[in-house]
Amino acid sequence: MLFYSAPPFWFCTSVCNCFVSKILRKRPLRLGSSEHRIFILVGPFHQRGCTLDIASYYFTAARIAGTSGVMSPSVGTPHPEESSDAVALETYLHHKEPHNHHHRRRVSIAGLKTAGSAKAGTDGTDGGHSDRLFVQVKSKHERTELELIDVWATIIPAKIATTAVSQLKQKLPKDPNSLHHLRRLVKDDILPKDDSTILLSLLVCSVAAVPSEEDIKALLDPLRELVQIPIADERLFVPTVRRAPSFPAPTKEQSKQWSEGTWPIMWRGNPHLIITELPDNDEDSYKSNLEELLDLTERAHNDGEVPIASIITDPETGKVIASSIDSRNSSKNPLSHSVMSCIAKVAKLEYARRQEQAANLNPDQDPPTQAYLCHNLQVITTHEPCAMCCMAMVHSRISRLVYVKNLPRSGGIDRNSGPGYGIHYNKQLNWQFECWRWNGEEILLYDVDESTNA
Amino acid sequence: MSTKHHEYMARALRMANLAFDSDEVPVGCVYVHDGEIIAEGMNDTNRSLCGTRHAEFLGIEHILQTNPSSIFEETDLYVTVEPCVMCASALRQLKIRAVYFGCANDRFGGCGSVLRINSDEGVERPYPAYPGFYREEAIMLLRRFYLQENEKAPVPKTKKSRELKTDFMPLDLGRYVPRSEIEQLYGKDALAVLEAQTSTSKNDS
Ligand SMILES: [Zn+2]
Ligand SMILES: [Zn+2]
Repeated sequence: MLFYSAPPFWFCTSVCNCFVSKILRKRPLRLGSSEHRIFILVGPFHQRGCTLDIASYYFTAARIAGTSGVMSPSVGTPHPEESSDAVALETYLHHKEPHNHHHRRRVSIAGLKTAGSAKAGTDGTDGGHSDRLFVQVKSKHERTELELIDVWATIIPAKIATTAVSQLKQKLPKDPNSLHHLRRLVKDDILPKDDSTILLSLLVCSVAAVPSEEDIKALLDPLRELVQIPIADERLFVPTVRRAPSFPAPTKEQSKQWSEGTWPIMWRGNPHLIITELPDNDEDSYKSNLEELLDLTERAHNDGEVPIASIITDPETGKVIASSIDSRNSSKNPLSHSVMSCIAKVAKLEYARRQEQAANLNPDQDPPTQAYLCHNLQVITTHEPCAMCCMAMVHSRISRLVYVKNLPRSGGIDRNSGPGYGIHYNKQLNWQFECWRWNGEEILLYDVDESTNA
Repeated sequence: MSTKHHEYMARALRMANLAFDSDEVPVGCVYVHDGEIIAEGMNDTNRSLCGTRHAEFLGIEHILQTNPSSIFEETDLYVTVEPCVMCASALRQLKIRAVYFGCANDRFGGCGSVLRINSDEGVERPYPAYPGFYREEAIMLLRRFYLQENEKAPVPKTKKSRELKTDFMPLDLGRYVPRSEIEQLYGKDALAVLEAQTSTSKNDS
């Protein structure tokens, strides 16, 4: 029988076996290996429609392995000399948790890129369209007054629009203003001088990103070369300054109003679902926090605990105040979730600190400042917290939550998780906090049963 | 109407009074298994400096010291105030059998007031939550507590907030309890009242 098998596929040390097994569970695949490569045996050659599936599978696998590009499937036969391996692997695949995770420690989050870039082409309706490492799940900041910023715009022929946009994207510096909510191309009422061409207005970038007109001209001029038949219209490729709303409107109606006389907004639903950006510094510091979380989950796994972990940090100093793994197994308390334990630790620390202060009280000095619960602290955790933990964060006045993975059955944050509680932005409750989810390449977390409450 | 539920709730109220005397938000609870109170709890957030030390949690921890968590499947909770979203979720994860509470918790309630954690679709089985057992006593205890807090505040509040209110809004049973269960637990009259309310509100709209 003929099998599809991968071309040489490096088993890089950062790939842990459990991860490969995770993919394998999704598809009826089998795995074989020789010294430096993994063969993935997919299925009979003659199976119809198999090729595309396999290509997309390799794509995922390659991304996980840190190899770039899509690996095209090729035809091969299983190596008979690997049969002993294959038997071992088969046994391995039938066990749910056989992991040897020594490799996983080599994963460097610092090197991970965004997954958004690989997903280019998806539309932003589900909030997944971002080239940032974290996406905001929703914000409590409700801005309702129109604010305008200056943006550069120009006029281009519709024919070259797609090429022009992608060419510009490569050359433009990072924009300090988020322009995701604005239309990129607008069919203004620009009457072409030559009836044969449709003209579009193109949003280039904010003036804050490229303040000099000369620089903008230098960016726009090369686009002229994309036009094959010259168009006699002196307005083409000339930069002009336009006014644009600096953030999306809260309602569809307002969105329309705000777009009148300014650069138009693209309505994508409630702006609190739309991605805003976390500053680079924050993204960097969370990456190192995530490395610490991975260490903790490894410990949890080795201790026979549910591999979920959390830390609480002070965003001002970056200091880790408390960290904890899930301990429901050893404590025999199903509620010993890592977020709850972290919150309890913060309270204990403050309690001890106050006791010490009381003992050394100097009546001549001003009373020392006292921390209030977890006010101004943030939680960084591996999995979307359950409703209990979310509300515990509300009670504790947490300012920000950062997590890696959604738990669609039990989570209390994402609108697609469980009944969609979104406890962090429920206006009926007396506290709201910001929430950000990891948007980068898949991080090698241990498998957690999907009905687990994190 | 006095029932065994009122008996257990009276014990929960005693715990709430204890909380009041300890300068905690006066919420108390008892857990009942096989007709026996197996644990009590009172709010402990101010003393512990921990915002999650609600009465429910203290009781849960006490029970788990000597029992497996499966005991909750056959255990009922009596708590003077509707469990908050956090506790409502905790109780569901423990698969509690039923919850009886005094007054609704308009700010944080997780059993019908703000969210319906007890009955929504979820991982663990849902549980019923019945309000109204010694409701007025629970409300008065809270009012006395917040009045006292206001008096302690460095800037005295308005005169109105310094008066102890003694009137009660009617309880909207239909918000918490399925119609089919009302008569059995609250009597024919309660059902009649609810139906009268519903028909007026229908006429209004
Ligand atoms: Zn949790
Ligand atoms: Zn509670």
